[in-house]
Amino acid sequence: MAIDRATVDYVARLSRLALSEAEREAFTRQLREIVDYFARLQTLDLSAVPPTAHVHEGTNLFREDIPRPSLPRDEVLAAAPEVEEGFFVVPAVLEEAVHEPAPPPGLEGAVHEAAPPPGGAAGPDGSGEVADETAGPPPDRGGEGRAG
Amino acid sequence: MLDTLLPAATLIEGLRRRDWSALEVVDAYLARIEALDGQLRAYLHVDPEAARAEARRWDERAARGEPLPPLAGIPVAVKDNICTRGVPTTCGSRILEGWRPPYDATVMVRLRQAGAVLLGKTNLDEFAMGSSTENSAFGPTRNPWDLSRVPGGSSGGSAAAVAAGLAPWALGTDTGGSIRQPAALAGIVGLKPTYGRVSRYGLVAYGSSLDQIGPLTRTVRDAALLLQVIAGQDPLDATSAPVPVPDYTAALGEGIAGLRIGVAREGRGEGLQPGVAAAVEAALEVLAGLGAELREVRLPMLDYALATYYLVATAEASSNLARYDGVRHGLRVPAPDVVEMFARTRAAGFGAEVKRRIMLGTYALSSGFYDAFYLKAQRARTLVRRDFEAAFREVDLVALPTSPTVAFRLGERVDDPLQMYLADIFTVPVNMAGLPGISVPCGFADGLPVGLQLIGRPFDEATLLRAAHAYEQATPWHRRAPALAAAA
Repeated sequence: MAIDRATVDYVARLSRLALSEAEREAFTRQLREIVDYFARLQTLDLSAVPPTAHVHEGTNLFREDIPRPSLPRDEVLAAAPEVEEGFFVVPAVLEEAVHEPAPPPGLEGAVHEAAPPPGGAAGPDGSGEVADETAGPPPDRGGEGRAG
Repeated sequence: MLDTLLPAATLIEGLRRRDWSALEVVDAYLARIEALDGQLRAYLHVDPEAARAEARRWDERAARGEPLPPLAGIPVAVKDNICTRGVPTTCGSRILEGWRPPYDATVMVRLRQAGAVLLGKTNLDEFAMGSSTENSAFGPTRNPWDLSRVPGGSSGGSAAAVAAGLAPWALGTDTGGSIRQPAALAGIVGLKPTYGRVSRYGLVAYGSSLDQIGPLTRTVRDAALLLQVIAGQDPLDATSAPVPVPDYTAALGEGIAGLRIGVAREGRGEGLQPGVAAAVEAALEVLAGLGAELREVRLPMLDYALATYYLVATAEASSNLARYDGVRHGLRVPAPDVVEMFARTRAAGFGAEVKRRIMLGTYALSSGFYDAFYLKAQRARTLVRRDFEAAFREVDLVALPTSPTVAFRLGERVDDPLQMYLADIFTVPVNMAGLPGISVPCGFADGLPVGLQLIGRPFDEATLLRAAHAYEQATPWHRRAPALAAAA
């Protein structure tokens, strides 16, 4: 399916990107060209081929479950745009329905959230160090404007 | 003053012999950076006082006769997507401008333990997404061989710094060619280790199943020395492998008589510049002359590897970069509610290529397209792996060009993302299969450097280094350096 403006707007909402008019224009053209190039994969018969998520899949590595110091809380919080009493402060969280993007025509039935790729969320950039680090934009918590 | 184009191995010997002090070495590089980096823009951050202080500390320890670690007092440049405690780490992005990580990446811990002195943080395509270093939010790096051309990317800052003698060696990262391609375009050595060979802890994630950290150096021996320090399992990265690390310099000089090197006809396809093709063919002749046995192998998936890579990598990127949301670190653009705050922060903080890749990955993962694109790409990835598995039943190494072209001009491809992606055609299959690959200088076309890529079996960096070393020692290319003069 070719990429059009509606698809770009839909994907931008899923991606939490407020695009400018010029970006919407350029991305529609560029993403269409790139996705057309990707279409060459459709010529491969892959039905009997198992997917590779990871080249070392199937090997589980374990380490001793020994507590060790986490990062100093003050240092971590010092990098945040706004904090209060040891919490990250975020603006008010409104009800979810307002922000759920509707899929463009032709995409009805599409689920609204992108699925994370296996392994993709496990980037070791310290994400495990902060209690609230998750791969996605933090799930809206409803109610108070605090996420800790 | 000290020649900053010396290999790191020579600097190490000279320090041991007290031919020069660590402070003299660091000062020589700082002076070179001062003189030339205004033209090259290889560095995003240099802290001369911190580097001098570290160097003085090693000189004092040497003067007291204390035992010194292997790289004591040797400067190193580090790509700016590798976390350095208390030192800015921007990933070439506005969204992380001003952020100082509260911890060191494992490779930094190992470098510091080995005595290396951090010279500075090098420029890159934003979040390592690009093949020219033009996607840095802080401006492009230029190729020291021709300032109107790109140094390749995404580790273009590291490549330009090493090629021009602004660092003896550097760390880069490689998700689809980001060490090997800039090494080729800048006329130096670049090694992407096997996936799992080097810890990714503290490497800011782009494509987590593809990313590896590795050395960019003037010589193959230097690549072996730097890999020695950073390789090995790390409990902080569950994907780092419990595979013993051999002594990489021990067998470097053993030659390549009888080594079987696979040559793929798919590596001679369309889009390959004639000058690059000629240099690579000549390099294969040299390898044969050194006793290697050249055999034809097939890599039929090469035509599909780029599409496969850009689906897998962007899918992983869209997930990994979801964490830049204005909550915990970096930029925040205020808005009345939280979702709008995310969207405005990300719109202001990310550049065009990062947005494109997040969009592509989100699209490929979205319901309705997941099976048609992402799952299909994962299945195709299996076929890419099988191509190499079949080849390695016949040969010990596979040879390909590193890049289909020499360095292109700044601005030439920025508005044509697909053309830019084609720069990675010969390097992405290696990441898809998790294999080690090295680019070694193999000549010039139109006065610009060309790289030969050698690809090895998983965790067999030693054979890769041995072959690359044999080739390097038989050819003059590594002794050439760009003619750069300080601006008047």
